Amino acid sequence: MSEAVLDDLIKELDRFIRHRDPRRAVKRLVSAFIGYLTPENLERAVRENLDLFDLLVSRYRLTDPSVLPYFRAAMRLYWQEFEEVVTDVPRIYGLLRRRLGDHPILSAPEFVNYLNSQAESLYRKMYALVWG
Amino acid sequence: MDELSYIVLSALVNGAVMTVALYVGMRKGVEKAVDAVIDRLRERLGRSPAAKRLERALESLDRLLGDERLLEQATKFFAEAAKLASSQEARNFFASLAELARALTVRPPLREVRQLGPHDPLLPAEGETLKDSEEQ
Repeated sequence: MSEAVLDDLIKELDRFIRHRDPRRAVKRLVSAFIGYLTPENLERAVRENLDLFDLLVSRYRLTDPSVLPYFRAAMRLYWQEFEEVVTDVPRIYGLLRRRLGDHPILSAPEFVNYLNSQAESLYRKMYALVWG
Repeated sequence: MDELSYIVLSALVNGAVMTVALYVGMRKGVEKAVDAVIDRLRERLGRSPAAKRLERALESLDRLLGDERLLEQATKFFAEAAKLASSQEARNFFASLAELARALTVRPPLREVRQLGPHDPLLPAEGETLKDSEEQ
């Protein structure tokens, strides 16, 4: 590797470390994820008891050897921000209400149970993947 | 020290790729970003003469993340370098690297998940809909 290339890499890394804005990055990620949720998707998820962790892993190929090391490194850096959201179900519920308004799915007890169990499961499985 | 130097170099290479991934992520959305990064990596791995080096760096990052001892060594190394560096810019750079390595090393404890209870004020009372509870 030439010195110029290494120099560029160091500059890029330096810029990343100095200017990273975890809250903004996580907010964008959460908004992007919430953006995929429609009442139909949520109804199907509850009906079929879909595992959100499995869905995320398969959709984003998180266990692919080309992805996993980066994903683990990025998640370790943003863990605190991720944890703040995923361990606070009322907060997630608030975000969903903002997106879906007063759609009946949001007041169904099955949905609330599903949300509680998925947040718990997603958090624990993600912890094992990122820190295991 | 050779091993450590190699790991530091690998971390830099990986850090740069991660930066690109995050940058693309911000611009194109998570879904497209993942595909773009994987495709880019595969394309590069297929063509570049540095393929083996990149592959080794990837394995190295994986190994680094799984080895607390090495991460601690890297943290100490960067913290020490931050003290010894002659220019302020270099000191800041190494201090940032030490902070980065520390963030990668320190495993936080699992915390309790705050659940949404059946009587949470966010939820409507029994027999009501969200619309009813909003109107009240």
